[in-house]
Amino acid sequence: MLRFLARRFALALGTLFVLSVLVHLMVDTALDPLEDLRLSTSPNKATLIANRVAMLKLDQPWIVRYWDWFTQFIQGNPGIAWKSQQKVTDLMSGAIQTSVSLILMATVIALILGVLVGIVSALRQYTALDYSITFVSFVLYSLPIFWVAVLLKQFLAIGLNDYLADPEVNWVLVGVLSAISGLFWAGALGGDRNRKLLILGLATLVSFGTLALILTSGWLDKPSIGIVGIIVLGAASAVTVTLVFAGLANKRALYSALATAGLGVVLYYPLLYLFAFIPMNWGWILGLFVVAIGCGLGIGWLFGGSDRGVSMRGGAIVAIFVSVLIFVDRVMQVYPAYYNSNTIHQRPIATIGVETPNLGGDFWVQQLDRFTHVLLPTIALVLISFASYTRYQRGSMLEVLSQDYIRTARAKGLPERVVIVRHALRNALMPLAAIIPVDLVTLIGGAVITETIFGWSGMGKLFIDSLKNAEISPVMAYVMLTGTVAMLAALAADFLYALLDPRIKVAA
Amino acid sequence: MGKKRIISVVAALTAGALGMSACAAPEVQSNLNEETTLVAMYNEYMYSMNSLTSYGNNMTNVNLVYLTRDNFVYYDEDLNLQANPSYGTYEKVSDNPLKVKLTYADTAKWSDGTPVDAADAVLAWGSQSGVFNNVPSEQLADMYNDDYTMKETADGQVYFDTQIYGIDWITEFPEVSADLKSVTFTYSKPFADWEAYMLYFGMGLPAHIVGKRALGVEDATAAKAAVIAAFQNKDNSALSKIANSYNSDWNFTSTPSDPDLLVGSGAFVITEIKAKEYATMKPNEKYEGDHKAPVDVFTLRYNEDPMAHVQALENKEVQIIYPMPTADVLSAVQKLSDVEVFTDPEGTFEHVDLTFDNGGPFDPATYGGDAAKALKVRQAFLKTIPRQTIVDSIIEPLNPDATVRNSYNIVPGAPMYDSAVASNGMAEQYGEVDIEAAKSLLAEAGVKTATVRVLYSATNPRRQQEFKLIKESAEKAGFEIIDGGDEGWGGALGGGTYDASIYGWASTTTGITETASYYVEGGMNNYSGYKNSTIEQLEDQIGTSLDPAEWESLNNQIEKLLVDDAYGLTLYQFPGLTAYDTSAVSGVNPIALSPTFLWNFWQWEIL
Amino acid sequence: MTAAQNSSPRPDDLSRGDNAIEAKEVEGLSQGQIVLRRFLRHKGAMSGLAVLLFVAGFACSAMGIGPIPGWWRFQDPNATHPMQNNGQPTLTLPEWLGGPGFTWGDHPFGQDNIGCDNFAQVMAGVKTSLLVMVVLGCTALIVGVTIGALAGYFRGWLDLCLMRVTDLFIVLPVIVVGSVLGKLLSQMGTKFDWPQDVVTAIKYNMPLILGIALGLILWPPMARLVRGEFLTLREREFVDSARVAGASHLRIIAKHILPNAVGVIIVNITLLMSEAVVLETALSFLGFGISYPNVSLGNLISTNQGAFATRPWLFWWPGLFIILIALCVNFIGDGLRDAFDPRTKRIPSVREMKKAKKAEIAAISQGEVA
Repeated sequence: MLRFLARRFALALGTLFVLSVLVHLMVDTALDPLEDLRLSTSPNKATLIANRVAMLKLDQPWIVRYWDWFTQFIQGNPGIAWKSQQKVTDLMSGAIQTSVSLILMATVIALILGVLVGIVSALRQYTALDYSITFVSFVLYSLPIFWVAVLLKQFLAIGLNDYLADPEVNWVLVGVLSAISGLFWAGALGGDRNRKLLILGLATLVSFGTLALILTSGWLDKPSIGIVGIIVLGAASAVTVTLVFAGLANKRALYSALATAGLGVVLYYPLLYLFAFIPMNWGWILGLFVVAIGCGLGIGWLFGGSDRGVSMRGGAIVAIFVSVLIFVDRVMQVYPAYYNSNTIHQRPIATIGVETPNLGGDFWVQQLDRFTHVLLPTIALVLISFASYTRYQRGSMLEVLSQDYIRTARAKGLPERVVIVRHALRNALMPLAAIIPVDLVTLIGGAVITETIFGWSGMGKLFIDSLKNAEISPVMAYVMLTGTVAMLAALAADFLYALLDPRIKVAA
Repeated sequence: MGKKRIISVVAALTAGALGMSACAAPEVQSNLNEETTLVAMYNEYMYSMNSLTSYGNNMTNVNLVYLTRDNFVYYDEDLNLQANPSYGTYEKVSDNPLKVKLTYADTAKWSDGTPVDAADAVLAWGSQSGVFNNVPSEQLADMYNDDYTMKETADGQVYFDTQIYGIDWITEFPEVSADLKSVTFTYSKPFADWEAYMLYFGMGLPAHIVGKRALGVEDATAAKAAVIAAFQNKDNSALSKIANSYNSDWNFTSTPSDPDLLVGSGAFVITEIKAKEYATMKPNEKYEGDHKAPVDVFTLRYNEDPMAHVQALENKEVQIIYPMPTADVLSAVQKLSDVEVFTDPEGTFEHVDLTFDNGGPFDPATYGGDAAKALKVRQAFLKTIPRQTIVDSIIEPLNPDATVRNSYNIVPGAPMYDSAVASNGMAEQYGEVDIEAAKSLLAEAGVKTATVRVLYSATNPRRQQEFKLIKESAEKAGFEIIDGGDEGWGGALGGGTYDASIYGWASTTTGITETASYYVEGGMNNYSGYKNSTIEQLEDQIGTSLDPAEWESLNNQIEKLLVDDAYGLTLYQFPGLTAYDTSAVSGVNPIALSPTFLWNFWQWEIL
Repeated sequence: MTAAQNSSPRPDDLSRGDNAIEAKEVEGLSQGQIVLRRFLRHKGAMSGLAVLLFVAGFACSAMGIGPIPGWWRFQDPNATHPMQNNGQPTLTLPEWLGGPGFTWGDHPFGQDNIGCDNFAQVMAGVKTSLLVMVVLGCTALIVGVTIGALAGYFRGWLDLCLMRVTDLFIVLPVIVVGSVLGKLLSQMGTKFDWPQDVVTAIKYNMPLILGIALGLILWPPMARLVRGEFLTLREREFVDSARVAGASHLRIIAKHILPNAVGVIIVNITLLMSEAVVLETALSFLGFGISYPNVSLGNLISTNQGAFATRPWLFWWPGLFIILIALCVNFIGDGLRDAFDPRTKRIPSVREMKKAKKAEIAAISQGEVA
């Protein structure tokens, strides 16, 4: 295992080195730091050019400039943006955080949604639902991100804020949305005609009811999940998780999942007090999150039984879900104050920037403010990434479903749930490990455009600005950082792949 | 575990949880800022708090300086100069020689508590007059960094990167009162606009901070004394350090690490600057003057995209916007409710300048010093500029009353404008595009194709369109037009990298001598490299005349010469576009001069 | 998931009819004919192809190709015309769509604020996008297939190099490499002091050059796929027999292996081309792609995004055509993939199943009788 890691690591370093050489050569050729002086006919043009040539060593072979950059870079100094005389590290420190939060959020959301929809699409191959999903994902795939961004700003941000300011429910729209949701569920759950009609009716009604309740009860003014919501959603998640991963017949799994949800419910108020008395930060939150997962695993272990792993896994998933619920609930609690604060003017969804200037507020308010700003760029990124995940997952699921061992599993009379979840899903998810790093790179690329449009001063914008200003140092820093991230992601994916698929020899 | 037991456990847990919900959840504390806030959006980001250097001279910097440094005078809504006695008073002590006495009020204080006094006036004069500069002009180009900031000069070399016309006529060290409360300047010759130029004294830097940073004197009083002494004794070693600090220290795009750099004397102090995004300000606690901050937190956000301005206003993220006006932006903003829109022309006017000294097509040197040849090429080019079309297609949608501006120096509508237009000949010679005349002028000059590099702001859609129209027209006459659109066009001005430039002059005062610096050799705004000794004499006469009656005929003569020399052309007066949210603030009323909508911030009322 | 249990296809019931239909369908057809048949049956792909051909034909005939002038009255997209009705589109809907009757007018897609004809600009942009797409596809095809085939067939150091090079190319976002390339292309002329006419030639042929340059960075995934295909195919019996029969390497690659890999290649190139459309527009939007005097759809959106609220036609038309082109190419790619992939089966409809079963029974009974 160690040898595998070391070997891959060395290979990645080598690739990064070659990458730095190639890109440096390319950028060095592409940029013309003398551009402004070149056309100059001012009397001291010669001196001006000579000064700059000396400063940037333009009279020397490219390799000298590369070597200077390289030796500095490996000592941890990515250089200076020569025009503005600012250190690249200064330029990047804020930009990295901005970009990472955007890309990470978009990846996670696109992955989860894309995979789920892809699986449903595959299980219902060549039905109306499958065709609709295919069509929608192709449309999304074809959308230029900068075009979507302009529309999002106008319709989603301004439109939604207008609605919040003057909530007049558009019942036709609610009806249409409910019907779409009904159709989706009917298509996804399938069955014969009567069953489909029943699901269609039920799902439409439930969606309509939920939407109506949310829109008319004033929930939007003071959103919360509350203890009741956490009990209901926690129990539902416990049942669903058990249903999918273990089957309701596995009582131990069910009880451990329910107990985990119960523990979350019991800890709800103590946690609120903790949040009230101790100023939170991300260190605390991550710590609590790890503790929660540990609790889920522990409860699963206690319930034990012959198949301890299943219970533990179920417990952990429920723990994650309930923790996220509690976190979201706490963030929602500051919403009324945020909404009415005099910097927000009751228009929470922002069109530009990373944060509201001079907002003040504690950790929770800042999370909410980040959320309202990150919402639009994230949607823009997710819409595009989501499509490729859906298509990919659908293809991979279909391929697995047509394998002989699935036929065998069905033939020996295994319940369809077991066939799909235990045999098909696991194998169909594995190729994702290969696609995630590739998609991450695509997303980083997408962020270049998104940041430009939404006025985020992130890494992508830094790259574009530096390229326009003929400053090579920030460009190289961006390239090396992106390259490293992509390499690490690929490395992690390979490693994961090896763990998941016993056929792949780790020593390879 | 039996089913019953599990159910009972779950039930107990649920009951317990519900029971706990009876005990009240902790009160949610959000620590949100409760102050009143106001956000305005501007289209260029700030990059210097010294708006008097050639590097920092930009409206966006002037705006921040206006908010954070109080002044002797300001312009009211009718562009009349108003005094501000809560900062200080000024009086003309004698006409010949012109002597002006400034007296600082007791209420004038820097935000660190140090009084504003004669030391600051001495620094303002010393840095703006150019009297102390000892770097020969031919070495100047080498003194600039690539970002157009000044390099550190060698010890003993003094160069202040500022020169204000008229203030350089004060050559003698002023009389400073012992308590530093008053200072008397003596002009070497009468200066017509001395009163309007009182503005520049308030825009200067705090002398005690300059002294502290440049000379290392910690104590404010001692630092002031050191700065005064340096100027009084022409101590070049100290002045060199002061000049370096003056030229560079106040150039920053984000909150500087040294809080001293944010010390101001105005109603607001800057609390945070986020590079290229925003600057936030809070009321200056030490401020005792009349122009009080109307709001607890004032934020200037920066965004170039005019549509982002409108969307942000619509979304109430900002309350006042000042986008680059285009027809699309105007109609978009007019659709918003609760928004008042101003489209009056502004003090800025668009113009095309030609470069005379870069070896390009308009430089006599290109033709071996044949000035007549170069003149014909210039005239040919100017004859192709579709001024009426530009106004019709770009400006009229914004302001139905828009006309071509036909005077270099006088704003349309001002009393002297008609007489200037009648006598300068711009309307007759360049009123309409004349491709044939241009062709024959080129033929007369014996120039087959002249390649003209046109500099303009690449990020400004209006100038892109102007360029497109000019290019289309000039190419018909046989010119080859090279697209010199540049994002950093402001810094490129005067660099000789272009033959023609399209940009706007923003008037900061109503002074009659204002435009002199465009035409006079070595003038701070003479980016064209234009020279004409007759004009320089006439400008001298205007500048030293304290009698407004003489101004009209002198100005007409100057303009006639400029037209005859094919100096360049004026295009139009900028249509302004300011819009504000009437549900959030009242009293916003932009004026034609910088700082436009900010001029009366103390009269705003937050709703 | 209980639902899934109930509604899943029962392979046992289906298999007989399923196989019978498939067997009957492909009776007496070559592999190529089967693929073509499947492709022609793919409704999505066929509609995509039809729309794409229509759009391409429309744009090219409107603005002309090369020396042949098009039928549209304004052939120069950058020329300005007198403003009509505030630049509003003169295109009107036919009566049955609630319009005043179909008219084309002078400026069917409207005008921008200095009077350029939006129809001419959008059509020129469509042409540019298609040109970039095709050139990019061809470049990537030639380079990718050649290198992939050689690496997969000969293996050894070539293969090793290829794998490392592809590693390099997939590390950076395409848009980043594309931006650097775009900058490189637009700078080369002045940087190396090339003569003015060369610089001008580059400026006016930017779409072509950009297509080639982007093709040169987008080939690695293609090469990787072809290599993989070649690695498995070269071990097959028919390759061995060809080799034993004395066929040259070139002949084996070109005549024996390549035809078997053509499915993967075609599918991949279509997907690459759909990516190319969006990539080109994104680069032009950022200012590193196609710029004045060439017109591209991305460029149009970039200049007109401010007009979104007031003159939406300047924003919607180019966007619409980008989506249309990319969507069509995507559907064609999907159809091709289904057609070439023997594993994807079309599940027959209930009616077809019944028919097949009847035929089968009839055949069996006939056999009994005989």
